[in-house]
Amino acid sequence: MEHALEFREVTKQYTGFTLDRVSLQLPKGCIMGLIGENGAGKSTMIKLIMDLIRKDGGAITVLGQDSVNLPRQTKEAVGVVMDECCFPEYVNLQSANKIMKSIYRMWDETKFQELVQRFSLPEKKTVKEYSRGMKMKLSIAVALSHRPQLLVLDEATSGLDPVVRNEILDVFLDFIQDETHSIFMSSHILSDLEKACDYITFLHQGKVIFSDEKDRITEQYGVLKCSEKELESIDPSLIVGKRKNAFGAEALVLKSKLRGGYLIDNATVEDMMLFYIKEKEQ
Amino acid sequence: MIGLLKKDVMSFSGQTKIYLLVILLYGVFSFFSKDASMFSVLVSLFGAMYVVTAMAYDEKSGWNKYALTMPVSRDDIVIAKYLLGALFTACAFILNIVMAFAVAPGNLLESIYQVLPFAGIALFYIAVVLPILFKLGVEKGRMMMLVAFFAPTILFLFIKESGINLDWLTEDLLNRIIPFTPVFIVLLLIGSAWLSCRIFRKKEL
Repeated sequence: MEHALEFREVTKQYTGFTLDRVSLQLPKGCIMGLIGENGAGKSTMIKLIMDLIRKDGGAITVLGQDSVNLPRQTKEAVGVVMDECCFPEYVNLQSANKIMKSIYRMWDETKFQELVQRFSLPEKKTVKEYSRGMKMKLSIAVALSHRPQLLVLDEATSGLDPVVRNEILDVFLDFIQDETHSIFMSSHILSDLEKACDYITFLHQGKVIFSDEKDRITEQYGVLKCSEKELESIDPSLIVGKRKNAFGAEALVLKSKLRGGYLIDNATVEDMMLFYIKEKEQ
Repeated sequence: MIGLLKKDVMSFSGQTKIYLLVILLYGVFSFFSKDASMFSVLVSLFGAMYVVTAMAYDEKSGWNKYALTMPVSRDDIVIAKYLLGALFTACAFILNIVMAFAVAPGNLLESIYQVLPFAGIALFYIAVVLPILFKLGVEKGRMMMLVAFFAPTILFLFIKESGINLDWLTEDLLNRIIPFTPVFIVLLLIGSAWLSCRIFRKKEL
């Protein structure tokens, strides 16, 4: 299978933080969500994809090309939304359009106009007067208006209200209808990822905890609710993480391997993240 | 590259009114006082300083890292700033010729000779300052810029105070050296751009 994005044993060292031998594969036509706590290394990964920082080991391929000194053609086919709007404050819709028209050979002005109208971005205001939501919408409109094949989004939906987030997720789902298109997105809003993603990669303190198909992950894991005593009787190798509360205990378990008449709820991505991190802290 | 230049020129258009007002004010003053030197210094300074302003805008918004996700190379970003500097210096140069000619109508060539040193100084300043700004950023580079600005004066004072014998530097020799200054400035700019590219290629954004 051809991959839109691939990390092989990628390492990046900072003082006090290491992105440790990260590997993942995003097949074409899919959406991969990158989750992890603040400082887990999500933005570092996104910077590495675009060669903004140097890696200390491993290899990254973007649309089949090595990420170091990506050729212009490949860069043209990647739409990026950073975690902040990087347009200088004096830019407005008209000037953003003019600038991008000169930068991207494939710039699609009609598409841009269509998106800014869909996002109801104000014609006259400059970026300085934009709210965070408007800034993100502008970045997303730009990223989608040069016929990209791969979208790389760093916290693109954070800071937006649920209505707008839904609207933007719809835009992403439209984009992914073309099976050559792919999306790699990091987010804190796990429900968004749950809604949209085919693959989930969970990064914790610079290490990949899991990177797999979402359905396979949710099939494999479940949240068990039982008494503390019952929990103690279960094979510890099947328990990923646990927490105790006033009513008993909850545990993230490998439900496919757990035999017996237990009450097991489906695990959400959020459950998995919380249980994993909590377990590590203990 | 053109897109990058467009972006910087657009940022200027937001402040055109202020710049034009100051230029007009000094223009009128110079015209009536029949002395264009203040005007020339000011306009040349504006031209050279504008590159610094453009870089400050980029730094504040995080534009450079965003630009690198586009079909733009690191060298493109550097070269675009040198071109911007050259463009604004050229505009200042033309404006200065017009002013010099308006103040003392007569020989156009003489007016050009009169304002040429200002363009030279502006380009010299750009060549010295840009590698510093690419290395340290505008915020941290500010002090270094001041140092770069006053370094020639300090050097001159130092030479004067230290009593180094400069008798060999005759007027005749200077007159022979001066025609080569444009070549020197161009070489300096090329060297400076090369250095900035090297610095920026290694920069983590």
